[in-house]
Amino acid sequence: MKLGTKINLVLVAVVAVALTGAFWVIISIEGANLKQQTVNDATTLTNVLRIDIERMFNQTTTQDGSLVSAAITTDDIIVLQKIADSISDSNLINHLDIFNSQLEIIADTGGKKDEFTNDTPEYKQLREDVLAGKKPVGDAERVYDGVPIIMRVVPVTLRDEKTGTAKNIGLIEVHIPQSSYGTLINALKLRMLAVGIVFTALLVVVLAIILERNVVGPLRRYSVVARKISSGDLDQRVEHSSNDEIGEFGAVFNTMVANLHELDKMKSDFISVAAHQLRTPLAGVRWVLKLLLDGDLGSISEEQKGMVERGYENSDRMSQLVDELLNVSRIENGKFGYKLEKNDFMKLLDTLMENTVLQSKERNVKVILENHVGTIADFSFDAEKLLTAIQNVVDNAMKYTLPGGSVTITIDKNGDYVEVKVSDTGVGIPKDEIPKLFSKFFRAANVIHLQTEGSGLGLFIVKSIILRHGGQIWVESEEGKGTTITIKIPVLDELLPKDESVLV
Amino acid sequence: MDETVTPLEKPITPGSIASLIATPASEAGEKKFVLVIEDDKFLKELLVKKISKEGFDVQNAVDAESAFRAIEDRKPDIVLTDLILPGVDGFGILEHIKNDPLTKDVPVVILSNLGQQEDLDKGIALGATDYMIKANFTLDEIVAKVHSIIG
Repeated sequence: MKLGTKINLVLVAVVAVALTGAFWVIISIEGANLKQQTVNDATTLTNVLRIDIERMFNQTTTQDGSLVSAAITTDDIIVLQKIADSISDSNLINHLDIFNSQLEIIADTGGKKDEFTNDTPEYKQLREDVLAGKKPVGDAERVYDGVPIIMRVVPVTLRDEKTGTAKNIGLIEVHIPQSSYGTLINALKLRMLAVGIVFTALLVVVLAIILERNVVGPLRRYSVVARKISSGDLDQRVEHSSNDEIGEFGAVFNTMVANLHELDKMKSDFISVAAHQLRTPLAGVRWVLKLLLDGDLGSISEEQKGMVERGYENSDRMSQLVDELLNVSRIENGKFGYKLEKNDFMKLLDTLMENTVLQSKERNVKVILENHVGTIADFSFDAEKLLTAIQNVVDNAMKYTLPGGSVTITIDKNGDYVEVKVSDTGVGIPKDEIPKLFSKFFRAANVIHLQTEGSGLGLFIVKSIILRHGGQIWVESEEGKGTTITIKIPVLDELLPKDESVLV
Repeated sequence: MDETVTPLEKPITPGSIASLIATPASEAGEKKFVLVIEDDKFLKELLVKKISKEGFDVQNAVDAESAFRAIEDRKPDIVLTDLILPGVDGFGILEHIKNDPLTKDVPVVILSNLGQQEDLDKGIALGATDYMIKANFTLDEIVAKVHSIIG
């Protein structure tokens, strides 16, 4: 999973949890408020009813100016029943009961006068307490007829204005369905959810942008540069401008690469200095051996001459090794000094074949040239270096092919590329060693004992020459059967790399 | 020294040198003069031995100072110079020879172990006739080169 996705997911989870918590608190507070508001509204409505009913009783009972027992006429009951029936239209209250002083129902929404006869004692007690004046008002949350409600009981009080006495002569009971504020709370929850989703989405987008700009983007750019550096281009540097840890990392990274660059240069310089220093005593040895061989220092026996000859050949190899070391150091410093100009590839092939004659005879390895293209128009290449490269591959093929075997050089044209295939019937290269073939100082395990010569630098130099020509080189090999090395180089100038940097 | 060579009398003036150079020693049937500037004792010995065996007059200088003295004494027919030398290096000597109107026609072959393309280019740009890497050429090849240039 990508870093940005991971961080985003974590943030979304954190935001979701935080929002849920916050909303829970908001909903609890707001829910309580909504409930209170509903209860208040219901109370107001109940009070209006109560005052109406009380006035009605007062009119019938205070004709003589004193408090007597309230009598309720049949007309009164009809009026009260109408009020009770009209209640079912209200959203706030779904049920109204009016009790007399004996707690008998005299009016009831729905007209069931006996519905509380078997009511729970708890609620009966509540009604009695209110009627007796022990409680000014009775509230209880309960489920009635399968509906969660708030049950509210208020007394109907008869007042004697002259004596200032009051007496409860009945009760009004209203049922406030919890759904009347429950729907409001649900609506609130929905709104909160919508706000939460929009907020989270916005946050994710904003965070994604911030992450991309400040963390993921720079890291991605760093890794592009790091990849180039790991493939050998030590001139690469990351761009860093931020003052945060990422910027600091960029600066440290650049310092690290600069140090690496310095070390690499020191190594190349060391190879260069060492190789140059080796050349002076080497020249002394070679010159003296040659003087001995040529008889300039007096005559020597044939046997002595043979030994000196071998000594001289060894000095020759050493001289080649020094040259290869210097070439590697030059390649690494981008100073191999290529001269890319229009040249005749056929002439290069002629020279190549001439150069193989001697070794081919000595080793008893046949070298066959199969030219499938006839002639190729002149194109740009460094004649000397490309010859060195192809020659090296062919020499290798001969070197690792046992006497009696053969090396076939096939020339083909493939689009804008010339393909040179060098196939031998040699010892082959172990499969797991093929990827290391073009690295410096590499020699396959199965040939280290076969030949003492070979610096392991040849193919590294070959590869860098081919790359400089905008070409490719690859190997197919089967141990014990043979190896085919294919070199592909472009014949168009547009396909040549612009400069010598970064080719290894 | 041959009698035909008139020793210079101090103070040396361009005129006195010119009169001396007007009759090159070689033209008077003398052996050609090869100046070898090389500071490695063994290589110097081998070079001098081989070249003088080929019938040349050879003198060796180990640094720029002794080289310039030798050139002053007798104008060489060819100079073989190393590049890395104590004090003024081979490029400095080459530049000096090529900047002096009296010696600018003397062929100079660089005989060094530096083989970088830029060293080579610099040598040729400064007027060197050829550039040979000691470890990659035998004495025979070096002598053959001398013959091909002044033979």
